[in-house]
Amino acid sequence: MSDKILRLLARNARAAGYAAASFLILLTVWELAARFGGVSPALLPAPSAAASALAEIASDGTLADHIASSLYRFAVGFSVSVLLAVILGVVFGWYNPLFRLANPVVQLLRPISPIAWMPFIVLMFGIGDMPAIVTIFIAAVFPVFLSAVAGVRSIPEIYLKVARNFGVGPVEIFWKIIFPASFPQIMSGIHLALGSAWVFLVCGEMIGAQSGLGYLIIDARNNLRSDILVADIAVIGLIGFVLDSLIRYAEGRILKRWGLEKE
Amino acid sequence: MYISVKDVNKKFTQKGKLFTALENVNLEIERGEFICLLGPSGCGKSTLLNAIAGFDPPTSGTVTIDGREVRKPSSRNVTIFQNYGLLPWRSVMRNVELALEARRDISKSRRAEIARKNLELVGLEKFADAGPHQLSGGMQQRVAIARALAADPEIIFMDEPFGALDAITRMKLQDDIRSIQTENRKTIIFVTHDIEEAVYLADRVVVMTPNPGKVKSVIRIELGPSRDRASEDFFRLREKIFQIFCQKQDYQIEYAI
Repeated sequence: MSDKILRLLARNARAAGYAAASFLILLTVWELAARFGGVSPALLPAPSAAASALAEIASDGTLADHIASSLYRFAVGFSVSVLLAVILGVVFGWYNPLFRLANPVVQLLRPISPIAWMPFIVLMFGIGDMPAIVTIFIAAVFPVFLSAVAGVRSIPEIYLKVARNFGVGPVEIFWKIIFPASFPQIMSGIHLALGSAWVFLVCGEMIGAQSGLGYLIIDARNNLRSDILVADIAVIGLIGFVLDSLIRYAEGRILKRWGLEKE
Repeated sequence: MYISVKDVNKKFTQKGKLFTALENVNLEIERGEFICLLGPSGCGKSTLLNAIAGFDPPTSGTVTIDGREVRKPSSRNVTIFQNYGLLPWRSVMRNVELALEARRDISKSRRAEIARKNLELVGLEKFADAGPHQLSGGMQQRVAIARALAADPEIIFMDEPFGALDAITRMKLQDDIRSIQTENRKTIIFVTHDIEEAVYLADRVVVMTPNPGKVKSVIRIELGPSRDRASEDFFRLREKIFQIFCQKQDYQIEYAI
């Protein structure tokens, strides 16, 4: 048992070592390029400058405010999108004619960047929280919908046989069998969607908002504060990474419970 | 007669070709009998089971249980599958409870009580809160048996239920299912391709041959309730059934490679 823990620690220590080295190399190359590259600090701020800019916006509270508005929009847009996409995906996946009717339009709409809708969105909803929320909604709805449909269609037949055998009703079967049986695949769709939704949140805020991490990019540009810009980009990356880790953890737990664990 | 299969035919189209899975099958089964459907792969034994259980009705002919024609599965008859059919998102206990959830006349607490009692019967009460995937194959199949018994069915259909288990576990479960059957007098229809398993378990063995799938003969196993796999009578019956398969081999043997 303690052997196992030691091995796990050793493996994690090695992974942490690689991660630290990876960032160390990035920061060193970057710092050297900024100092000796002969480029104006306004174009390429050094990591040390970005760090002090980060400290500046963190200490006066602006960073926390921007993070709060971004996360609020993300939470609303993403959860509404996932909820609707899962419900529709499960129902459409179960009733094949319904899916065949919807699929051509879905396939046409899916490759369109959510940003393309932006002029309409701003005209319809104005500036504020809504443009970013709607952008996230569009970004997440198609991958989650399609993964739910695929999940329902690949339910092992034996679950359906068992349900018929024990007289599970035509409505109950959705929450007793169909939804849980396709849940692992839905979860991987949600995982996929989360990444692109976070990417499009920043885009949405760059165009249609007066706050948030995306807005901060525009704001920093307008004030020629490239150090804040870089600090903001780092924060966006970090939050995206944390969100991805959380959902990856949740997905892992589900796969384990469903007995679909790889390795 | 309790279960009656009359002139049953079943045809599939497979890759554009018409395939006869069952041809003119007639079979009568009494209440409380243990029947084994025995034969090589492709002889239609699972197709016949699915037709009697109501999952997949025949192309022509009729199946009646207790005088009523079978058209769809009934919760009074439970099927046990080779790959168990447990729901991985439910605990062992909740898997067993599934058998009673459609019953309006059974309260929640009564349902839990019945589920627990049946888990005890298969010796898995300690694993009530575990997930199915934490259990071995043999234990999972015992959960499926507990679930089937919880429904208190009149007939239990078993589709190669022990096919995925190792030899020792299989023998243990064969003993379990025999003792359950002698205690509760359930009617059991059991599909297998293992001659020894059929002779050990059945009151009557229905020997089936493929291309097209049909019943070759029905053999009564008069070995009484306690059976010895090493007895002379056991060998003789096993040999007799083996000879039936060898009599006329007008079909290609399939090798799984």
